[in-house]
Amino acid sequence: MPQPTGLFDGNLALLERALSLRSAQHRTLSANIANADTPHYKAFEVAVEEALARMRPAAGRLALARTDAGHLPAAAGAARERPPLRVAAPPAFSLRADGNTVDLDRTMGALSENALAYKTSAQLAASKLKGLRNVIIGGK
Amino acid sequence: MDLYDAMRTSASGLSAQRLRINLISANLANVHTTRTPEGGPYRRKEVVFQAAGGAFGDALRRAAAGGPPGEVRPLKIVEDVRPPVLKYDPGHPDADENGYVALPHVNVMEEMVNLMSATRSYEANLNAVRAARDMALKALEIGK
Amino acid sequence: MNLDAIGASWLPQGAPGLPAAAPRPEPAGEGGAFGRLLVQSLERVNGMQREAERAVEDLTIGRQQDVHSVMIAVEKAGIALELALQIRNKLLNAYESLMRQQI
Repeated sequence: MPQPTGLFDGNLALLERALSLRSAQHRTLSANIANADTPHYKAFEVAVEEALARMRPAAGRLALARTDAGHLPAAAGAARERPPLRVAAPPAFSLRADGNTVDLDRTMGALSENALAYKTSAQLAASKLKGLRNVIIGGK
Repeated sequence: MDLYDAMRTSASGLSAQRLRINLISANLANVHTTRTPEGGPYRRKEVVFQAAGGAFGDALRRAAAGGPPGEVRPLKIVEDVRPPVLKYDPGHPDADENGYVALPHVNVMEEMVNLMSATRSYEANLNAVRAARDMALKALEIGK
Repeated sequence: MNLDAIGASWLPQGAPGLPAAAPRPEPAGEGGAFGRLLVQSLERVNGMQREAERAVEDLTIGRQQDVHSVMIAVEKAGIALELALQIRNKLLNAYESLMRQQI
């Protein structure tokens, strides 16, 4: 997790990362929905919670250590790194014979949930920045 | 930007489902058509879709390579190649010498079910567009 | 911006009762350590402004840039600038009241 850089603390970086991940998730889910009738299409999705959890280790605010040279560093530009993808769970019972694994209902649910989480993070980021601005301008 | 790309993908989904609905309408309209310019009864039509970005099964590889938009495109329109349904109706103007009429392989119930599915998919893509729009607008509020 | 460093530098060098600070190499004509710090901070603010401008340009032209990233970058740059302005005002006020106290 990036060290607090004085004025803009790590929380804002986490929110920004969440926004990037959920934006990628929406794109992925939209592709699933658009291809709900494409033969042999395999649905996939972004592992949002896992990626966010990695940014904030449970044992307090420790700097993210690279345990392997192959891992990506937690740099400030990490917001644009490629989102972690995984194969979406296909529907439990599918009568399809064309190899398509999109579960339209579940995907719609995931899309709504993701959109709400995105809007929440955006709202929190906005409030945080507005609060900072007020503190700076308000104090004479 | 992800949200723009998502909207473009959803738009391709809308077009795809609209094409599917049009073909279903054509099938339903021609359920009794025994005479066509090409000769023979109407042949049921169906569209096959294809995901942009190559092969279908290696989704992860495709995504790992930077993630194409994931748009859907009509690959081809397939005509029913099965031999037509023969119905005994000697009074029909298109009956052959044995009194049988060749009818299209259009099952009205099946087409209606497909129509419901296509409509549902169309609406799902529409919801996706709305969600992307709402998300982008919310992000714009970050600057107050 | 590093607020802690700014706070510490408010202590005047060589004030009575304080150990004299070891002389540090200073850029000719600048106001010493504090001056250097100020220049650094202003450069950082300027850097943020430039980054924000580039982000806006990328979004407008259609190059890969998320709307939320641009908005956050623009806001952060604006806040940093605002902070710099407030500090400048404080410095001016302090300077003026200091000037008024001269014999």
